[in-house]
Amino acid sequence: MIREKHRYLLVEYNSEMPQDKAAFSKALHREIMSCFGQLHYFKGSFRIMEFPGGNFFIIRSSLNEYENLIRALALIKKLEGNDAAFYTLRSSGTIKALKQYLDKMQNDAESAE
Amino acid sequence: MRLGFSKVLSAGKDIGMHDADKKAGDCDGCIAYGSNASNMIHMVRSGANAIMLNDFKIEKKLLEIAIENECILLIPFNSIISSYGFERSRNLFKASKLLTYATKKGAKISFISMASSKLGMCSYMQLVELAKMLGASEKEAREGIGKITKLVFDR
Repeated sequence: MIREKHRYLLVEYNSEMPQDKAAFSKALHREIMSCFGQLHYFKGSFRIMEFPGGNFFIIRSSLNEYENLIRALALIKKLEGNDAAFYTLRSSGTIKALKQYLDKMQNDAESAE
Repeated sequence: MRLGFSKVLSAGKDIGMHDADKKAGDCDGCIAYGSNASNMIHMVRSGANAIMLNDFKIEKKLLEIAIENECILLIPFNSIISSYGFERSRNLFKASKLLTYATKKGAKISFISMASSKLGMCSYMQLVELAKMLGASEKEAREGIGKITKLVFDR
Protein backbone atom coordinates (compact mmCIF):
# COMPACT_ATOMS: atom_id res chain seq x y z
CA MET A 1 0.00 0.00 0.00
CA ILE A 2 1.38 3.39 -1.00
CA ARG A 3 1.69 5.88 1.84
CA GLU A 4 -0.41 8.99 1.34
CA LYS A 5 1.57 12.19 0.85
CA HIS A 6 0.63 15.24 2.86
CA ARG A 7 1.12 18.96 2.70
CA TYR A 8 1.03 21.32 5.69
CA LEU A 9 -0.32 24.86 5.61
CA LEU A 10 0.49 27.72 7.96
CA VAL A 11 -2.72 29.67 8.49
CA GLU A 12 -3.31 32.93 10.31
CA TYR A 13 -6.82 33.42 11.61
CA ASN A 14 -8.67 36.56 12.48
CA SER A 15 -11.52 35.50 14.70
CA GLU A 16 -12.50 35.04 18.31
CA MET A 17 -10.50 32.02 19.43
CA PRO A 18 -12.72 29.68 21.39
CA GLN A 19 -11.28 28.42 24.67
CA ASP A 20 -11.80 24.88 23.53
CA LYS A 21 -9.45 24.07 20.64
CA ALA A 22 -11.41 20.93 19.83
CA ALA A 23 -14.56 23.02 19.34
CA PHE A 24 -12.65 25.43 17.08
CA SER A 25 -11.32 22.51 15.07
CA LYS A 26 -14.77 20.95 14.76
CA ALA A 27 -16.34 24.23 13.62
CA LEU A 28 -13.59 24.79 11.05
CA HIS A 29 -13.97 21.25 9.70
CA ARG A 30 -17.71 21.82 9.34
CA GLU A 31 -17.09 24.97 7.29
CA ILE A 32 -14.46 23.27 5.14
CA MET A 33 -16.90 20.47 4.45
CA SER A 34 -19.58 22.93 3.38
CA CYS A 35 -17.10 24.38 0.86
CA PHE A 36 -15.80 21.03 -0.39
CA GLY A 37 -19.03 19.07 -0.35
CA GLN A 38 -19.39 15.72 1.38
CA LEU A 39 -18.16 13.76 -1.63
CA HIS A 40 -14.76 15.49 -1.76
CA TYR A 41 -14.16 16.17 1.90
CA PHE A 42 -12.98 12.67 2.81
CA LYS A 43 -10.20 12.78 0.17
CA GLY A 44 -8.51 15.69 1.93
CA SER A 45 -7.71 13.96 5.25
CA PHE A 46 -7.63 17.39 6.89
CA ARG A 47 -6.39 17.74 10.44
CA ILE A 48 -5.26 20.68 12.56
CA MET A 49 -1.83 19.58 13.73
CA GLU A 50 -0.70 22.38 15.96
CA PHE A 51 -1.35 25.84 17.37
CA PRO A 52 2.19 27.28 17.42
CA GLY A 53 1.16 30.45 19.28
CA GLY A 54 -0.32 33.76 18.25
CA ASN A 55 -3.19 33.63 15.79
CA PHE A 56 -1.72 30.76 13.83
CA PHE A 57 -2.35 27.10 13.28
CA ILE A 58 -0.89 24.39 11.09
CA ILE A 59 -3.32 22.23 9.14
CA ARG A 60 -2.57 19.04 7.26
CA SER A 61 -4.05 18.12 3.92
CA SER A 62 -3.48 15.41 1.34
CA LEU A 63 -1.16 16.48 -1.47
CA ASN A 64 -3.97 16.33 -4.04
CA GLU A 65 -6.38 18.52 -2.13
CA TYR A 66 -4.19 21.21 -0.56
CA GLU A 67 -4.88 23.75 -3.31
CA ASN A 68 -8.60 23.31 -2.75
CA LEU A 69 -8.05 23.74 0.97
CA ILE A 70 -6.34 27.10 0.38
CA ARG A 71 -9.36 28.19 -1.70
CA ALA A 72 -11.81 26.92 0.90
CA LEU A 73 -10.01 28.80 3.69
CA ALA A 74 -10.20 31.99 1.62
CA LEU A 75 -13.97 31.54 1.27
CA ILE A 76 -14.75 30.89 4.94
CA LYS A 77 -15.99 34.11 6.54
CA LYS A 78 -18.14 32.80 9.40
CA LEU A 79 -17.33 30.39 12.18
CA GLU A 80 -20.07 29.39 14.60
CA GLY A 81 -21.98 32.52 13.62
CA ASN A 82 -19.04 34.86 14.30
CA ASP A 83 -17.04 36.77 11.70
CA ALA A 84 -13.82 35.00 10.83
CA ALA A 85 -11.06 35.13 8.24
CA PHE A 86 -8.27 32.71 7.45
CA TYR A 87 -5.11 33.66 5.59
CA THR A 88 -2.87 30.93 4.23
CA LEU A 89 0.68 32.20 4.53
CA ARG A 90 2.81 29.26 3.45
CA SER A 91 2.70 25.61 2.55
CA SER A 92 5.36 22.99 3.12
CA GLY A 93 5.94 19.26 3.25
CA THR A 94 7.05 19.42 6.89
CA ILE A 95 5.78 21.10 10.03
CA LYS A 96 9.35 22.01 10.98
CA ALA A 97 9.79 24.22 7.91
CA LEU A 98 6.59 26.09 8.71
CA LYS A 99 7.68 26.70 12.29
CA GLN A 100 11.02 28.04 11.09
CA TYR A 101 9.20 30.37 8.69
CA LEU A 102 6.92 31.55 11.48
CA ASP A 103 9.88 32.22 13.80
CA LYS A 104 11.63 34.18 11.05
CA MET A 105 8.46 36.15 10.31
CA GLN A 106 7.96 37.03 13.98
CA ASN A 107 11.64 38.01 14.39
CA ASP A 108 11.40 40.25 11.31
CA ALA A 109 8.27 41.89 12.70
CA GLU A 110 9.99 42.51 16.07
CA SER A 111 13.11 43.99 14.47
CA ALA A 112 10.95 46.22 12.25
CA GLU A 113 9.27 47.63 15.35
CA MET B 1 -0.40 41.72 9.40
CA ARG B 2 1.76 40.10 6.75
CA LEU B 3 -0.06 38.19 4.02
CA GLY B 4 2.81 37.34 1.72
CA PHE B 5 2.92 40.79 0.15
CA SER B 6 5.85 43.07 0.77
CA LYS B 7 4.96 46.09 -1.30
CA VAL B 8 1.31 46.85 -1.90
CA LEU B 9 0.27 46.88 1.73
CA SER B 10 3.05 49.33 2.61
CA ALA B 11 2.57 51.47 -0.49
CA GLY B 12 0.47 54.11 1.21
CA LYS B 13 -0.60 55.30 -2.21
CA ASP B 14 -4.17 55.39 -3.47
CA ILE B 15 -5.45 55.08 -6.99
CA GLY B 16 -8.57 57.02 -7.87
CA MET B 17 -11.67 55.08 -8.78
CA HIS B 18 -14.37 56.52 -11.02
CA ASP B 19 -17.91 55.20 -11.20
CA ALA B 20 -18.79 54.87 -14.89
CA ASP B 21 -22.50 54.59 -14.11
CA LYS B 22 -22.65 58.14 -12.72
CA LYS B 23 -20.67 60.22 -15.21
CA ALA B 24 -18.18 59.78 -17.99
CA GLY B 25 -15.52 62.27 -17.05
CA ASP B 26 -11.81 62.18 -17.75
CA CYS B 27 -10.00 59.78 -15.51
CA ASP B 28 -6.35 59.81 -16.46
CA GLY B 29 -4.53 57.11 -14.51
CA CYS B 30 -7.55 55.97 -12.54
CA ILE B 31 -9.60 52.79 -12.34
CA ALA B 32 -12.99 52.92 -14.06
CA TYR B 33 -15.69 50.68 -12.66
CA GLY B 34 -19.35 50.10 -13.39
CA SER B 35 -21.54 48.52 -16.01
CA ASN B 36 -22.25 51.37 -18.44
CA ALA B 37 -20.22 50.32 -21.48
CA SER B 38 -20.31 53.65 -23.36
CA ASN B 39 -19.07 55.59 -20.32
CA MET B 40 -16.41 52.98 -19.70
CA ILE B 41 -15.21 53.27 -23.31
CA HIS B 42 -14.96 57.05 -22.88
CA MET B 43 -12.95 56.60 -19.68
CA VAL B 44 -10.60 54.06 -21.28
CA ARG B 45 -9.99 56.47 -24.17
CA SER B 46 -9.33 59.31 -21.73
CA GLY B 47 -6.55 57.33 -20.06
CA ALA B 48 -7.97 54.97 -17.43
CA ASN B 49 -5.33 52.53 -16.25
CA ALA B 50 -7.72 49.74 -15.46
CA ILE B 51 -11.37 48.76 -15.73
CA MET B 52 -13.48 46.74 -13.35
CA LEU B 53 -16.90 45.42 -14.29
CA ASN B 54 -19.98 45.03 -12.19
CA ASP B 55 -21.44 41.56 -12.44
CA PHE B 56 -18.54 40.32 -14.63
CA LYS B 57 -20.26 41.34 -17.87
CA ILE B 58 -18.24 42.93 -20.66
CA GLU B 59 -19.13 44.15 -24.11
CA LYS B 60 -16.99 43.04 -27.01
CA LYS B 61 -16.30 46.63 -28.11
CA LEU B 62 -15.20 47.71 -24.63
CA LEU B 63 -12.79 44.81 -24.37
CA GLU B 64 -11.32 45.56 -27.80
CA ILE B 65 -10.78 49.23 -26.91
CA ALA B 66 -9.28 48.25 -23.54
CA ILE B 67 -6.82 45.95 -25.32
CA GLU B 68 -5.94 48.71 -27.83
CA ASN B 69 -5.24 51.15 -24.98
CA GLU B 70 -3.33 48.57 -22.89
CA CYS B 71 -5.89 48.96 -20.14
CA ILE B 72 -5.88 46.28 -17.45
CA LEU B 73 -9.03 44.28 -16.79
CA LEU B 74 -9.43 43.80 -13.05
CA ILE B 75 -11.19 40.73 -11.73
CA PRO B 76 -12.27 41.35 -8.13
CA PHE B 77 -12.80 38.49 -5.69
CA ASN B 78 -14.96 40.34 -3.17
CA SER B 79 -18.25 39.25 -4.73
CA ILE B 80 -17.05 35.64 -4.73
CA ILE B 81 -15.74 35.73 -1.17
CA SER B 82 -18.61 37.60 0.43
CA SER B 83 -21.44 35.68 -1.24
CA TYR B 84 -22.63 32.22 -0.28
CA GLY B 85 -24.26 29.15 -1.82
CA PHE B 86 -25.89 29.52 -5.23
CA GLU B 87 -24.94 33.20 -5.49
CA ARG B 88 -21.26 32.38 -4.99
CA SER B 89 -21.52 29.57 -7.50
CA ARG B 90 -23.09 31.91 -10.05
CA ASN B 91 -20.40 34.56 -9.48
CA LEU B 92 -17.68 31.93 -9.90
CA PHE B 93 -19.22 30.85 -13.19
CA LYS B 94 -19.47 34.43 -14.50
CA ALA B 95 -15.94 35.33 -13.42
CA SER B 96 -14.62 32.17 -15.00
CA LYS B 97 -16.38 32.93 -18.31
CA LEU B 98 -15.08 36.51 -18.29
CA LEU B 99 -11.53 35.34 -17.63
CA THR B 100 -11.66 32.75 -20.41
CA TYR B 101 -13.06 35.26 -22.90
CA ALA B 102 -10.64 38.05 -22.00
CA THR B 103 -7.62 35.74 -22.02
CA LYS B 104 -8.63 34.43 -25.43
CA LYS B 105 -8.85 38.00 -26.77
CA GLY B 106 -5.43 38.84 -25.31
CA ALA B 107 -6.41 41.30 -22.58
CA LYS B 108 -4.14 42.14 -19.65
CA ILE B 109 -5.76 40.76 -16.53
CA SER B 110 -5.17 41.42 -12.88
CA PHE B 111 -6.73 39.77 -9.84
CA ILE B 112 -7.61 41.83 -6.78
CA SER B 113 -9.41 41.17 -3.52
CA MET B 114 -11.21 44.57 -3.35
CA ALA B 115 -11.47 44.02 0.38
CA SER B 116 -13.54 46.60 2.21
CA SER B 117 -12.47 45.29 5.61
CA LYS B 118 -9.85 43.08 7.20
CA LEU B 119 -12.14 40.09 6.85
CA GLY B 120 -12.28 40.44 3.08
CA MET B 121 -8.54 40.38 2.63
CA CYS B 122 -6.71 37.47 1.01
CA SER B 123 -3.11 36.32 1.27
CA TYR B 124 -0.96 36.07 -1.84
CA MET B 125 -1.34 32.27 -1.90
CA GLN B 126 -5.10 32.56 -1.67
CA LEU B 127 -5.27 35.08 -4.53
CA VAL B 128 -3.17 32.77 -6.70
CA GLU B 129 -5.35 29.77 -5.90
CA LEU B 130 -8.60 31.65 -6.45
CA ALA B 131 -7.31 32.83 -9.82
CA LYS B 132 -6.38 29.25 -10.70
CA MET B 133 -9.84 28.13 -9.65
CA LEU B 134 -11.31 30.51 -12.25
CA GLY B 135 -9.19 28.90 -14.94
CA ALA B 136 -5.97 30.91 -15.01
CA SER B 137 -2.67 29.06 -15.28
CA GLU B 138 -0.10 29.32 -12.48
CA LYS B 139 1.95 31.81 -14.53
CA GLU B 140 -1.07 33.94 -15.47
CA ALA B 141 -2.22 34.01 -11.86
CA ARG B 142 1.14 35.12 -10.47
CA GLU B 143 1.68 37.72 -13.20
CA GLY B 144 -1.91 38.93 -12.79
CA ILE B 145 -1.37 39.70 -9.13
CA GLY B 146 1.92 41.47 -9.87
CA LYS B 147 0.31 43.84 -12.37
CA ILE B 148 -1.66 45.76 -9.78
CA THR B 149 1.61 46.40 -7.93
CA LYS B 150 3.05 47.97 -11.08
CA LEU B 151 -0.10 50.02 -11.46
CA VAL B 152 0.49 51.50 -8.00
CA PHE B 153 4.20 52.18 -8.36
CA ASP B 154 4.59 53.14 -12.02
CA ARG B 155 2.33 56.17 -11.83
